[in-house]
Amino acid sequence: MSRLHVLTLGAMVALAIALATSGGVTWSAFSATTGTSGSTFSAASSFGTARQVVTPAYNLRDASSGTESNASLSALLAGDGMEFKSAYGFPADFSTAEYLQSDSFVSLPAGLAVADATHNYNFKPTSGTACIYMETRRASTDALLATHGSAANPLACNSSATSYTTVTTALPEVTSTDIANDLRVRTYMTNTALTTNSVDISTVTGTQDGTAFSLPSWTVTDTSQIAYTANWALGRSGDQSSYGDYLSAAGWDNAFASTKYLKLGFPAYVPTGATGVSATFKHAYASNTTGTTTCWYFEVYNGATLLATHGSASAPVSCTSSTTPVTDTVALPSVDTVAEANNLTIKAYLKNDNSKLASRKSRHDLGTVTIGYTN
Amino acid sequence: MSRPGRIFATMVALSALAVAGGPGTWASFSAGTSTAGNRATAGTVDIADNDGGATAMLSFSGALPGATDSGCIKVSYSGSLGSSVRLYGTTAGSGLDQYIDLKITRGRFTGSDPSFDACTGFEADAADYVGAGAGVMYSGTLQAFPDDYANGLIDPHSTSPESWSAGESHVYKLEVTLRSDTAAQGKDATQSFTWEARNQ
Repeated sequence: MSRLHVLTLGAMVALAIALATSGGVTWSAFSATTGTSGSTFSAASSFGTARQVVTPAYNLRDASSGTESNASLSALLAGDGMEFKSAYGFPADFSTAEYLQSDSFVSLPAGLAVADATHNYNFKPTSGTACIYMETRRASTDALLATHGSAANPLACNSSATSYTTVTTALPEVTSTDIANDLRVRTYMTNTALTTNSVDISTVTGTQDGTAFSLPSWTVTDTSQIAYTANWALGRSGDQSSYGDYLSAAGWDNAFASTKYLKLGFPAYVPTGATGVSATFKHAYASNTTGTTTCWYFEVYNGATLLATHGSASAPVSCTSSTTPVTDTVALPSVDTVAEANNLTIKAYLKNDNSKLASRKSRHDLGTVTIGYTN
Repeated sequence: MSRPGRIFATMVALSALAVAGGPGTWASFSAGTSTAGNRATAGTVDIADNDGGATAMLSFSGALPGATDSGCIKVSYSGSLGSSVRLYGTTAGSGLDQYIDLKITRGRFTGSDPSFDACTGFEADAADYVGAGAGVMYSGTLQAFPDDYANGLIDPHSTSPESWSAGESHVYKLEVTLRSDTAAQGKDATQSFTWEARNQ
């Protein structure tokens, strides 16, 4: 090949390359893929409705002395040693002015249907024979809903001073949570010996949204002679005039002690399958003796399992020197499941700085939990 | 035609071919002489995973807010050519993807590999690639997850792309959570997850 041929061929190659590169040629790369397909997701057609329940702790154990004693609502459970005895004796004949009356605490979410509502009650005379019949009413208006038994045909009678007679009464008139939350049960009583009568349990049970509930009678009106109303101490703040304070059984130590506390147990109201569970605890307390300072912190439990501690021995949730209750509202982010909300216990540790043990007691005017959920 | 003329004609013909070919793939000029024992072979790009042909890796059905699912997949490279890898996927459905949070964490299995798509023994890379925690490559909605290679997540991060070599593998933990938004009610989504290796 002559020199001219070589030079010409080289120019041709150079020209071809220049044309190719100036034309913006894309070069393919070697590639390979792997992966997965078919991951599928679907959302429920309805996420449900946001709801809320508010309930006091009805189960109260007082370990201010270092040993637990049962200080629970008397109407909560039968056979627990906690009973309510009328202040005075009842007449031998029924009178519309002589009764024990109990109201429900507004706990259940509003606007839901209730099924199988039942009143669970027992009673016994101190002596003689006691008989009862019952009315249900709306607590807010005192409007009559239904009568169960009558003066002529009592629901039940009991002649035993040692054994309670249990009366279970279906309440078909309680058809919604609105009624259950606003239910008053008026129990007319007689006693042939004109003595006092006692009650060991008074609850309204049923199901709402497919979930069983039990509403204890949190307030009792006793008209056996001079009418008075006693509220469950932890149900409402500012109700000291209605015997609505709880006084610790013993004075607290000057320092927090692991064996000295109040243990508050709450009922279960959150239905299975609920989501978005949240909880807030409200506690109102005071020093029983003017000029002494009471402090507290608390632990949150799911049954026996510790979930969280709020405050500490070195940094209590709060302190007060007042004999007027102060209220602390504390969010409980550790309570975020149905199981935790329905098995909730709070252990409150307290201390007081007075030099005299008897002056180191505390008063408790509120112990409620508000639970939000969606279902 | 004279010799210069023939040469010129050849150059014109070559030019015409260059123009007509446009932005296409050009075969390179090559020349060689062969003698016994001389060979030229192309390198390879090869990537695979441990799903054994399974399709769905994540799912929830009729879910309520807070519903979650997670799974791990091991991706292995066996090509002879060093390659970069990008992650992307294809989304379909009625719009649930904007209400699903997706987190992808890169790491490895400590000990023996579990069966697909278990995450037993998963350990995240120590590096915080995107400021969302150790090993996290992506934390966002399923909707915002890239749909193609061009926009794909550069493994493990755009500032430090890795060149995969033969025998290299990494494990990816994918986690999805349904957001609490009533607008998501009744919606659905399907999703694929692709790892693509390219040697340039």
